[in-house]
Amino acid sequence: MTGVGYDQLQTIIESDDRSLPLCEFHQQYFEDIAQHTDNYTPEPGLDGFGRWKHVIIPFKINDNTVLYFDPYIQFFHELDTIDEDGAMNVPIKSFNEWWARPEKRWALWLEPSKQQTLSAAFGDE
Amino acid sequence: MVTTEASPDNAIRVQNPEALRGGHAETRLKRHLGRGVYVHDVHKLPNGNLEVSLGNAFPRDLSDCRDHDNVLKFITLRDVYTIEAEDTGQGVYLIDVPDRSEVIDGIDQREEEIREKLDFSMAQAIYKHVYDLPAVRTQLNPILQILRAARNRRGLTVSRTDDNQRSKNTREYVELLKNFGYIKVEDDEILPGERLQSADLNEYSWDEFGRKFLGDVVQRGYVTIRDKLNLSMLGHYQKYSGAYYFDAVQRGKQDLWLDIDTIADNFEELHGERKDRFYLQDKLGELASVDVIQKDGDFVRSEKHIYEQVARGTPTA
Repeated sequence: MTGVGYDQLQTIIESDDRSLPLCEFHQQYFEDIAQHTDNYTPEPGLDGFGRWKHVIIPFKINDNTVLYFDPYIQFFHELDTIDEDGAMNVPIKSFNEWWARPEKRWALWLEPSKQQTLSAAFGDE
Repeated sequence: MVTTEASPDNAIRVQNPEALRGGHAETRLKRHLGRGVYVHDVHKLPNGNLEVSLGNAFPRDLSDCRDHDNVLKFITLRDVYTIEAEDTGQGVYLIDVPDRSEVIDGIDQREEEIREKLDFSMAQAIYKHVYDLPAVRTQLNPILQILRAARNRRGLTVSRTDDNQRSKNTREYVELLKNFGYIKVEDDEILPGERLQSADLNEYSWDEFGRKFLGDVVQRGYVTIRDKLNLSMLGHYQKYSGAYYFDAVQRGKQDLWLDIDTIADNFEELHGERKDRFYLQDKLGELASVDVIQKDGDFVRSEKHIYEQVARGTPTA
C-alpha cells in the first residue's frame, strides 16, 4: 500500500490479525543514525551508500517518538535475537525525514483474507 | 506475483537526465533489479540518446576481529551495466529495463575483475618473499638448474636436460628462458643469453638470481606462464594472503586484524572452496615467516609495505 500515513501505520500495528508492517527508509538514515544510538556507524563506499533503501519494522508510534526494529542492529550490537533491547527509539521528526516523501510512502504487511476455495482465489484452470 | 522484468511497453520515461540519480527512474530500476542498483553516471551520446551507467552497492562485514569494532561498509561497484536511454525527440527519454540476469552477470564480471587484480597485485607484492619458502624453491629448481648450466657453459644440450629432468615441462622452461633472454640455444646447446651475460646479473648470487627470474615471471603475465609450466606454487601462496588482504584493502585499514575463520570465509568467497582452519593456520604461518603478513595466534594483520602495494593495484569499494 502506498501513500501510507501515521494513522494507518498505527492501525496496522495495533490490529490483532495483521503482521507488523515493513517500511522503507531513505539512505540519509545511514548518515544520521549514529546520532541516535551508540556504535551504529555504517561506512559509505566510493559512491556513498548507493542510495540503498533500508527496510525496517515499526512497532510503536508514540506522540513524540517511533519505536522500530532495524535488522542491522543485530550486527552492530551483537545481539543473538532482536527483542525489546534491540529496539530503536527515535524522535518522530527524524523518522519522518527518513521515511520517504509522503506520497511515496509504502508499507507491507500480511493479513488473512476471508476463507475461500483455491479455485475461487486463483480462478478455475 | 513479483515480476522482475519489464515488458517493452513498460519502459521508464525520463524527462530530466539530471534527475536520473536518485530520481523516480532510479527507484524503478531498483524495484526491478535490486535495491543495491544505482545510477552512477549519465552522459549524452552523439545520436542524442543517453548512456546510463549502473553501479551496485552491497553491505559487507569488514569488522576488526580483535577490536570488535563492527564495521559494515557499503561496497559500491561502478559500471556493472550500461543502458542506452532512447531520445524520443520530445524532451522525453525511454529506458528499457534490462533483464535482471544481465545485470547480475555484469556484477559477477566486475567482481571477477577485482579478484584478478587482487591476485595479480598480490603476486607482485609477495614474490620476493615467497621465494624463500621451500615449496616454491623446489618448483623452481629445474629452471635454476638450466640457468646454472648455461652460465657455466657446461655444454649442456636441450635433449640432455630433457632426459635428465624427466619433466614434461623442461622444453617449455627452455623456451621461456630463451624468450626472456636468459639463455640462447645454438645447435641444441644451451648458452648464456644477454641477460645472463650482463655484468650486474653476474653479481647476483644464485639465490638472488632465482628471485630475479621469479620477478620476471610475475611481471610478464605470470598467470599464463604459471599455468603453462605447472608452477602451481607461484599461484598458491597469494591465494592465502589475498584472503586476508581483500578485506584490509576494502576497509582501507592497514592494521586490520582478522581471525582465521574470517579468512576462511574470504577464501571461500574468492575461490569457491572451504579450507580447514588447521590447514589455513599452517599456510598463514608460512606467510608470516617470510613477512607477507603478521600473525599473532589466531589473528592476522598486514605487513605495511605489502598492504601499500596491494592497495595500489586493487580497485575497491
